[in-house]
Amino acid sequence: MKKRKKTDDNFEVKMEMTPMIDCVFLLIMFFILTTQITVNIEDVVLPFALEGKVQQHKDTNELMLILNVRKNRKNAKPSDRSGEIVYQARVYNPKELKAKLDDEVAYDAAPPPRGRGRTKEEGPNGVQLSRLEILIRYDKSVRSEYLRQIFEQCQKAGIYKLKLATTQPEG
Amino acid sequence: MIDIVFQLLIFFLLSAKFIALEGQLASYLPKDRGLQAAFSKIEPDEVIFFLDWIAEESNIMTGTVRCQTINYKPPGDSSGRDYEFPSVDAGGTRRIPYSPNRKLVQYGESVDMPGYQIPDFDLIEGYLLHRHQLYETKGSGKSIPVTINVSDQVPMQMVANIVDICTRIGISNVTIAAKEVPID
Repeated sequence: MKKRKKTDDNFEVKMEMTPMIDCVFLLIMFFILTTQITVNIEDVVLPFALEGKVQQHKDTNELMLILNVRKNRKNAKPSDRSGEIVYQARVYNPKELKAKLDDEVAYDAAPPPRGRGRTKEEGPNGVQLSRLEILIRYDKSVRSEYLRQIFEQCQKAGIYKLKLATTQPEG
Repeated sequence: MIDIVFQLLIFFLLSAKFIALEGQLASYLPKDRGLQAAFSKIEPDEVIFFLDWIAEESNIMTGTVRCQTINYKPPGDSSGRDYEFPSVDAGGTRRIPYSPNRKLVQYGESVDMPGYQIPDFDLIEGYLLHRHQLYETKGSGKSIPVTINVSDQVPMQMVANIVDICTRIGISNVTIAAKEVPID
């Protein structure tokens, strides 16, 4: 009996460090990776549509640029329903957007060391068309002015594959 | 080891679903118009919609989305005006059935977007289907071109609805154009 009591007194709680470190690494990894993913995706209320197809990417060849149009957060009256075009967490005006799209088209068509090397498609009348695809994530209550701007700039840059991001209607 | 495997598993599960929840509506700009977008020709069979925003005088937040089309005269209409689709009241948080499965959808949301009068999308769908079938009997093998002329203030949802209808019918040739004044 006496002996037993002695062992109870000597009992020490050892802290296991390994799972703790695991957890920490997990959290670090999670935050690093999610911040990289969400850079292209702004917080936007998408318009609903019944026919929107959920697409899985089969190969890396089908890559897509993501343009966001979100509500204007600065000095805007809600009645204007104004928005802003955001690409890779930067706000663009139409002129800058054209320059950026031209860059992306050039990068896409350039041979491998300096680009992706996807040759342009030949359209009717010898028009050179880029293989780039653009996904437009447009806030449903923002005025559609920016959609027209994006379409115009894409047409000038020779991009013709455009997609609108949608959700299923609620309820 | 098992810890790490679980981490990887969870990570891939989460990241794979991240974008996949969003649907995508394909719309292609016409290939042949290329760089001269400003001087595009109008095809004789093209369906052209004009979407306009008419703000209400008393409350500037709401208004009416007017949808007109040219090249169409309903039977018995002898006026020279462009055909205008009748409006449906989607004001406030009212829920409107949206075809084809009559799902109830809501256009207005909150104080920022209190809802507005919308064109009757059932009629638009019927009209587009009719035009699409007429065009197919010509047998060109292409899809009928649809152009949406949308004025700046119209909410994006209206454009999405028309593109949605076009996708459902099987029209792939949808373009958004700059605002032009309809010819009276």
